Parts: sequence; C-alpha cells; structure tokens
Amino acid sequence: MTDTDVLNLSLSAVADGIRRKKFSSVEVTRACLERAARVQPALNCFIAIEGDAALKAARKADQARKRGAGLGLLHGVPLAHKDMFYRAGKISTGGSKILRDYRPGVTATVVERLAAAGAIWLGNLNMAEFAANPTGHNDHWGHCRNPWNPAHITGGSSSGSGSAVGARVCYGALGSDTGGSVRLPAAACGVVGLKPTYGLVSRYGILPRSWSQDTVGPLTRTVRDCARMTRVIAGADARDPTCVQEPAVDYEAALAGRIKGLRIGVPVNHYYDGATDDVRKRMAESLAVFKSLGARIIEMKVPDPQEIFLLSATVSQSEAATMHGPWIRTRPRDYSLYVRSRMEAGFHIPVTTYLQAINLRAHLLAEFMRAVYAKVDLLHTPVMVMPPPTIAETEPKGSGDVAGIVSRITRNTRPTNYLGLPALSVPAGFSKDGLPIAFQLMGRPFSEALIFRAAHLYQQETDWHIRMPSL
Amino acid sequence: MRRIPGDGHSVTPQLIRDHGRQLARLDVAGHRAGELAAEVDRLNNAVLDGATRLDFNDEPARFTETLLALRETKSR
Repeated sequence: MTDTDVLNLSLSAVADGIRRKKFSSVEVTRACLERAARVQPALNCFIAIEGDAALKAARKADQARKRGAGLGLLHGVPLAHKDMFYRAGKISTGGSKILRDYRPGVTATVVERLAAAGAIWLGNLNMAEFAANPTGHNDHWGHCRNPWNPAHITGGSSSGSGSAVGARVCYGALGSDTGGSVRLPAAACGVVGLKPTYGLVSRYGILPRSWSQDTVGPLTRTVRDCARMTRVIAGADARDPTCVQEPAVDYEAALAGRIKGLRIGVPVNHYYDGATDDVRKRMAESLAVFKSLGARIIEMKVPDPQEIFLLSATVSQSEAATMHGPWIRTRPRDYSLYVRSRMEAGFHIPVTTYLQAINLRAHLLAEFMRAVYAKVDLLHTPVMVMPPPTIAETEPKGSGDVAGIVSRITRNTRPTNYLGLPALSVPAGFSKDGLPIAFQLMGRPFSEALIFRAAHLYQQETDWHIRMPSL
Repeated sequence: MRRIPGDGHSVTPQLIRDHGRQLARLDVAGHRAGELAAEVDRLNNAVLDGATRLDFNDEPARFTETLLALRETKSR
C-alpha cells in the first residue's frame, strides 16, 4: 500500500488497519507528516507541526500493539486540532497575537479523551483569531486556504481543521462551533462536521468564544468517522457544569438501520434566500437520494430564523465583550478588524437585554420544537447559500463590511447555536467551478444518532466524500 | 417608568461615544460610533420585541432543562 493509499483511507479504516497490523502507526504518522510538509506552503493549515513528538507517540502506540495491550478506538491514528484545545504547559494561541506564547495550566477534557482512545497529536491547526470569523482569514498567522482551490476561503473559524482533513493531512480534527465554525469549514472544504447538542460534549479546557453557545465537534471525511470521534469525546464531565450528566452513546453502532418513513423537513423560508443555482441543484439531488432511501420530504415554513440570528448575535457579542474587555482596553491594536468588529457592540448592549436574550432561549426552543419537530424528524438545508467565495472577496476593506460578510456566510448556521440543537454538515457535491457544496441535517436535542444514521446512509449512495483535491 | 415604543433610531452615535467613555472606558471613533449605533439598535430592539414572551419566573437554567425535557418527551 502506497502512502497515498494510506492517506486516502478513512479514520475508521486506518484505525482498523493499525489494529490488524496491516501497517504501523509510525508508517501512517510519517505519511501524514510528509503530506503536511508538502501542503503547508499552499494551505497554511497548521500553526505548529509536532513531528518529533508525533512519531514518538506513534512508536509507543506500535509497542503497545505489539505487547497486546488493550487498544482504544483511535489507537495510533494521527489527528490534529484547532489551536484552542488546551494541553497543560503547551502553547495554545487561539489563532491570536495576544496568546502567541500562552501556556494554559489545564488540559481539555476532549484532549484527554482522545489521548485515552490512543490518538496521535500531529500539530495545532490554524483558526480564525479567537474563533471569531467565519471565513478563515487570519491577520496574525496568515490566511488558511481551501484545498480545492487555495484562492478560496476555507470557512471558519475552524479553518485549519477543514483544510487539513480535506487535504488528507490527518484523519480527523476537533473544531468548535459557536455560530457555524465547524459546519462552515466542513462545507467549504468538502468534509463532514458535527455541531453537537449544547451540553453533549465538554467545553472544559477550550478557549471560549461565547460560553452559552460554544460547542466542540469533530471534522472528518466520513459520517462513520465523525460518529466514532463523537463517541470518544462526548459524555458527562464534572468539570463542565453545562455538560449533561449522561454517558456517551455508541453512535457508530447506531449507524445500522434504515430511514424508511423518516420525515425530512425542507424550509420554504429563509434558508434558500440568495441561493445560487449550483446550491439549489445539489440540494435537490441530495433530497432525491433521501427520498430513494424511503424518507418523506416535507416542505414547511419554519419560525423566523432572522429573529433567532439577532438574539444569537446579542448573546455572542455580549459574552465576547465581557471576556475580551480587559485586552480591548489595553491592547486594541493587537486585535484584527474582524475580531474587534464582532464584539464591540457587546460593550453597549444593556445587561438586561443580554439576560433577556438568554432567557428567551427556552421559549424560542420550545416554539421551534412545536413548529418544526412535531411535524418532521430532521431539517435539511444548505450550509451556505453559495460555494465558498474567494479570500479577496471576503477581505474586509473597512469596518463596515464585516457584519455583511459574516451575516451572508453564517445566516443558515447561527440560529442552530442559539437553540442548542445538533446539526451535521455533509458534502453534497461541487459547484461548476469545482468547489464543495454541503447540506446540513438538523434534529431534536440529543438526536445525533439519528442524524448520523441518515447521513451515513446518504454517503453509502454517493461518492462525494471519497473524492480528493489535487494538490 | 413609562414604556417608549422603539422608533428604530433610538441609539445615536453620541450615545455610543458617551456610553463608551463613561461606562466602558472605551473611546469610540466617530465613524465607528455610527456603525455601532445602528448595530446596537438592531440587536437591542430584536430582544426587546421578543421579550414580550418572557415570564417573571424565567431564569437562564431553564434552557438546558428544556433541551433535556424535549429530548425525553421524544424518547417516550
């Protein structure tokens, strides 16, 4: 098997291959590191590559396998992560200038769980500064670039996670999603990305963006891989009081089954506004696949996502202004225009308004559930209404463009974060210019197993997820 | 206190500059104050309009409780 063959394997396949001694973790890790070195100049998907440490960990993994130790679900599998998941004593920049040398004192729960499952840490991936823009621009560490066309954005804020997984540099990556930051790079880079239900995955030890809406989710090439990583990282964590006190589900086992009779809702309002012909065509094709699998497609009007969008922005701006206030007052020039613009309003929103926006969440969630999930099991929408634009097109030229750029890109993703609901971005084909297009499946609280099953069956009928970019 | 219906222009650039200086220890440039006034106005009014749904007994923890309750309803 050549290095290219190995790199093209899914996470699950490479884990099984290591377990069955078809190849070693050292061989796989070395192939990933060579690929990383080759694509980094074009994509800038890494902030730091930890080659020596990764190979050392891979050798340990191979020794453990040799002596017959119990092997975890990710034993010997190279992963890389958005540079905001803390490891005690190791630099975690958050994609920022301010935290360039920051060494947190704690390790994130999700990092501990991946390590316990045997995963190898290849390096720290590029990201939007402080997880605060949806494009992948980064004035401090350089813009991250799309593996399908480096002139185009990766989506953000988990830009390096989308780019690296799409480019076959690693088999999976963690990202965070506060307004679409997992789903947007997954969609733009042609990979799968999960925004889990709020509280399913621990936020302990991650750089915050908006405490009330932050979620942690994996980006992978296949739905099965995403289910496996989610099984590893999900579940109760006493160190995160917002985490639900229940064990993780075996999401991979839940892939087995059918979706005959499943009701899939398609919104007739908001979600297709401004959609390009390419996007409309791919959405229709994907719905036809679900129909062929026995699902019922039901067109419906959903509660006004624009109201939810504004409430979500009120919460995220207020919380970001609260946590960044001391630095904004003392080091304003160390922030990019993108980031400053996305929190400044938060300094001027009355605290009573913020708390009302927080208290409205339960009401709007209940209304949304009655209006939507009493009638359908899942919602299907485009992740973005256009293929990923170019980096130049989304560069803010003045402070006024930022809000417009952000709202065009995040209009279909942000409402889900305010409601706390799960959503999975799934590759659905390409534009006429060869850029990835994706749909998202959204569901009831903690319905990840059903979402994974539907998306997995879709991937059994299509081959978008196994196509690779030519780099 | 009497409720004043929002007219969509209640936040002015001057208010943003004064608020920034007096309550947030921030200097806001004139051009930016205009943009922020429009943004704060939009966000604030969206919340105030929606707040007619709120009940005296609401509190932030109800959100997680609702997420769990709606999941449990389905599983039954």
